[in-house]
Amino acid sequence: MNNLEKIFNVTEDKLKPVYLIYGEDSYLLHDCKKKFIERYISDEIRDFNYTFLDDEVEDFLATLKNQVNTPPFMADKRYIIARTSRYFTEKNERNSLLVKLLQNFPETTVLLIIVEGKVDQRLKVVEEVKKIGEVINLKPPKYKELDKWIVNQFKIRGKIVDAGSVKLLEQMFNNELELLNSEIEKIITYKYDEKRITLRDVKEIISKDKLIEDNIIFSLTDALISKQKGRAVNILNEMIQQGALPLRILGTIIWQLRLFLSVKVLKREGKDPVAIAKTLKSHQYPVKKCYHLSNNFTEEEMELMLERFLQANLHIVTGKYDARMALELAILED
Amino acid sequence: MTFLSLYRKYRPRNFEDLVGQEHVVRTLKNALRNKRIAHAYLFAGPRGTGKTSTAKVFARALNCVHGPTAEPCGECDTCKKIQSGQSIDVIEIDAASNRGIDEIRVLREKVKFYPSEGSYKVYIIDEVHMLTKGAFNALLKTLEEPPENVVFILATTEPHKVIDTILSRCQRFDFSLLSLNDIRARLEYICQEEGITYEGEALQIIARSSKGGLRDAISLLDQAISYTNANLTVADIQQMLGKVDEEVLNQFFNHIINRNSAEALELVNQLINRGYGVSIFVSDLIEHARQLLLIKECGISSPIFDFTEETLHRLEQVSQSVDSSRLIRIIEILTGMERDLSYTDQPRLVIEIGVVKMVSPEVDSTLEGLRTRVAELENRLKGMEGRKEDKVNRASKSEINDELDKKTDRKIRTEQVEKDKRGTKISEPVSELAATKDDTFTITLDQVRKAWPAILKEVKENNISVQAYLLEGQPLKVDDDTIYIHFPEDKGFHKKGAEREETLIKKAISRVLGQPCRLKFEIAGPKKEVVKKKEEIKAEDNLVDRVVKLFDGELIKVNYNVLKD
Amino acid sequence: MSFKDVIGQDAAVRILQDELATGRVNHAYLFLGKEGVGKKTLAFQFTKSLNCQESRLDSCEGCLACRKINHANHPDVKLLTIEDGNTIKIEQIRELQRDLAYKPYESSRKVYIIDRADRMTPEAANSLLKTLEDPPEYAVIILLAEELNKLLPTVISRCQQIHLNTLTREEIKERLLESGIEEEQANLISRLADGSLGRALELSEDAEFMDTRSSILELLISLPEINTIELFNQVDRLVSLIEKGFPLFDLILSWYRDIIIYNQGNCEQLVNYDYLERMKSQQDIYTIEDLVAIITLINNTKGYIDLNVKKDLALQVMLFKIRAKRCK
Repeated sequence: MNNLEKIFNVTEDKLKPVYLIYGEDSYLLHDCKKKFIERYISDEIRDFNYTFLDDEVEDFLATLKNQVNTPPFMADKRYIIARTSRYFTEKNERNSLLVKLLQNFPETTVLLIIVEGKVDQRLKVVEEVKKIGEVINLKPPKYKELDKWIVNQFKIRGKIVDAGSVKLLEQMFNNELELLNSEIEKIITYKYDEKRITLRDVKEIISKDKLIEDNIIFSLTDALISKQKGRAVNILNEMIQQGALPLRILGTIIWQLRLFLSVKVLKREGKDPVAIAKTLKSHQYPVKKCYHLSNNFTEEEMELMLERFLQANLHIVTGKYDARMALELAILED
Repeated sequence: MTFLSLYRKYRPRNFEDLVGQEHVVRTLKNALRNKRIAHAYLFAGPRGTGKTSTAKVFARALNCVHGPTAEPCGECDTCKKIQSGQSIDVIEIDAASNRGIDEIRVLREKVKFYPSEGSYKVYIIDEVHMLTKGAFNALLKTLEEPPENVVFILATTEPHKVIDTILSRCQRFDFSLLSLNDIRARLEYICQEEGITYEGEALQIIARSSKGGLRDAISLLDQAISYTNANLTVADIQQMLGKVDEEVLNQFFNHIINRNSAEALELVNQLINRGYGVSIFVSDLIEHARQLLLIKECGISSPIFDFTEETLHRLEQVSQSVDSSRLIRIIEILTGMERDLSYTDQPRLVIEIGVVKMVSPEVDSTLEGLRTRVAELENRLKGMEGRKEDKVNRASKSEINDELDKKTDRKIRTEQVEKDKRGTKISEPVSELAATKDDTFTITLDQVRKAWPAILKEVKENNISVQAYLLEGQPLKVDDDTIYIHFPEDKGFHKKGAEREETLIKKAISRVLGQPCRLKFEIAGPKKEVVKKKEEIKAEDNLVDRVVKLFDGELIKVNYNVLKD
Repeated sequence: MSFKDVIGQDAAVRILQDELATGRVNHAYLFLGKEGVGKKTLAFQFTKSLNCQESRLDSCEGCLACRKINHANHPDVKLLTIEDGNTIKIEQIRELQRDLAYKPYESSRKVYIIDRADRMTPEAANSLLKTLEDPPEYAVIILLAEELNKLLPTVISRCQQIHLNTLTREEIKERLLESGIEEEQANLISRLADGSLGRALELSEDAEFMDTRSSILELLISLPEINTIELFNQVDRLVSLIEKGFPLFDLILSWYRDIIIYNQGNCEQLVNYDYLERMKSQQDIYTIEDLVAIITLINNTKGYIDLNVKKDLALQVMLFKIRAKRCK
């Protein structure tokens, strides 16, 4: 987050006329905007010297030009925050208007441009911004930085979180900060009266859908390929109880069967798990598992299993069988 | 006095009234107490689990005159208005019927106005996943820059259909299906409040019928109260639902398993005469069969089951007397019946045929059915001992052939999707022995393929090196009276060798098939590998041996592919 | 253009010209025929003839009326079809009825052509009934549809049915040759077009279609020996083709049907004529029973996908079965 120092570590008089912040993560952009307003745009200024513009508005460019060129009223600076993508991510016929505006930019205006997406550095508009201001890429944190970010999110809300929870949150939501933010907010609301948040707490309240997809669903397919039918059915029922949708479960099962069969074929050709994972563009862990269990089924049996699940799919869409039972039968049949 | 349905009367007014979903309730209450209200919530879960009810309670909690509070008073004007659906600050939109972008646009406009009466404007959008893309995007814009005192509660049964950008801006709560106990507890509460007498088991039956959705359960309760005149007995409830007593179900099932068709049919007869709901009977049977299957496969300690200890043990015992594959077959037949019943005008016939299918091995092509038949045939043969050998063989053979012919003629089609992977057609290799000596060439490729091992054996007995050549080839086509034997590209040497010995091979084939033929040897694509299924072979071997012995026949070749069919 | 230029619909043309000649023009017509055989063309031709200021039996292409219709500019000739989603809504029919109330501005007749009439919602169709039964003197309504079974019987009974043929391969081929397509292409396209001139013209412009077709046929040829991994990858590709609207199943079916035809010795009837030489080896791989089973399997699979099963799963199973010859 060092780039942000360029914006926030200056005094108002040292502010540059234009700042462009961009990135894929909407949370970071929104957060930056919030902080910017908090830092520089006090309530008094807000009344007459602050405008927010969204490029969904019809005459965006005209309004922007107008606002930019309006001198501040009883204040040192006029602030404008504009949210747009189309002029900075790709060529646009009206870019030239924007270029002209940037080339004749008044000193008394400070413009913060928010772009959700990737900025095309070759565009003239971007060059012009760089000339008079700053272009800042807001990248979501990764690895250790992400850990720190999560821990910090809990900290500023007055909570201490354990390592297991951090890991689980990362597994579930990667570095989708917006999502993480929502989930963290939810977790601390759930356990408002407690200071420490444990893994167990997180598991109880976290959005199950992802959990099901990533973890539980994997143990269902695991049971399937380990020939533990009973266990597979148990897990299936648990998932449905939790609200998982049968067709989604079916989709993941099929994906797994495909992986299993592919691993088996590649194993037969003499490849090792690492090479297989590379060929299939898959993570090593599931590949290794399939590799070790590959003798549980012949290739033909795998193909027949796919046929059974196709039947289950058919039964589900035609309503012939109740979805849960259709899947149970597909798992249990030989 | 206006009649208020139970469902409306007992609609949750505050968080305590909500059934199940403890985590959700706890979090929302904390949010209210500590003023951590999010701008948008997503309530996801199956229908009837309380999403809309919770949303409404939350709306009241937000706008109550004493609020925001975790305990809305229910007395103030605002609370009352929201309860009756008349508050202008709580707006409910059903996205299933209002998918359009226009509604959302209007919403966006309205959103700009401050709430008039309460402190919050609450928008409850039900089945939000049904919004069109345009509407979603319009909603998204509002969520991106949400006005201060507005809360959105989005509810859906299909959260994965909601676009990511909206999902990420909501605090998401997952609603799970209600347990049998939760539902029953709520029903008990209502009964107590209303002064209704009831048998515990009766409520259990109602709860079970609702399949995890409280709304259905309460509406059934409503019906039950009228039907039984406020005194819920098990017998009455069963009658109302058209349900058959558990005992009867068990009996019927046992008849089926033990193949007592007469008794099964008699039981059905009685049920129909007494006016019981035939469809419900069948769906209860399906559920029963399913329970047995699951007990077999998952064990009685699995968390799936909702029964008492003794029920579980009893079911376990029953489950031990029947094969899983038979249970699956029974479920298939029952499901077919269920469907046929929905559009037939002859329900009795549908059931009777279903019973026959489930009970009779002739019509039952599962492995188990076949075993039974073979056992019966063996018994019959034993009984015929003492008569002249020839006669016995001929007589038994023709009788058995008849049976088998009947079987091969009969096609069991339960639906258009191909089925019956468990059927066997052992008849085919055997019928070759009984093949008539026609003058016209009637050999099919299938028969040649099946006889191939025998042909190879015959050739080997004559000249082992010729068999070596022939081993690399495969019969690939039969055209008129010519059998085409194909060799892979790289086996040209073998092809030539075989060609040289054409006469010998021809003789061997004719001897085995019982007909003269012509031969042609060709080069084809590379040889395909046949994947052998050794594991399956073991299972069926025993049965095959027995059949072969029965017919005093030779094992030509058992086509395991067909067996597995 | 004139009636003479309408290809392959002699019977229909004769009926319509007869009616023009005797003045016994009906108020409601139902033109039935496969997509692309010329229903719209014929409908417009008929309309021009009705309104032509110079001729009574045909269009002159010179007068104001003919020219306006050609430019879709005539105030008394309106074309109606699906606007939103997949159906013709009742609102559209109501608008038609409101417009119908006014007398024609310029000609003697007001003509409404409803394309894809089989896509009317039941409400729309029902509200049209009165108009079909009892229209004003100056009105003519022409419904265009592919098949009878999707139309309300009450609608059908109120219209005069005109059936359009599918064109013969020769007719299509000739037309293509006239357009400057070369012999071999024309030969092939006329077979692929399956009786529809519209389709043939589309195909002649669509290079991408031809390429895709080749790659799929190559896939089918290599299917018996194909590697499992490759099969999965190909299925992914096929799924996206289906989603783009490519007529995948028609193509696959045509292939296996061709093998049967080839086997029977009718090489002339082949659809995939350009693959004639490859057919020979195909014929050796599959027996007739195999092929019949395969065709049933493909039809079933198509049905499953219409019912909304997972496309990738359905295609995987289908290809595995064909590969392993497990099509029973």
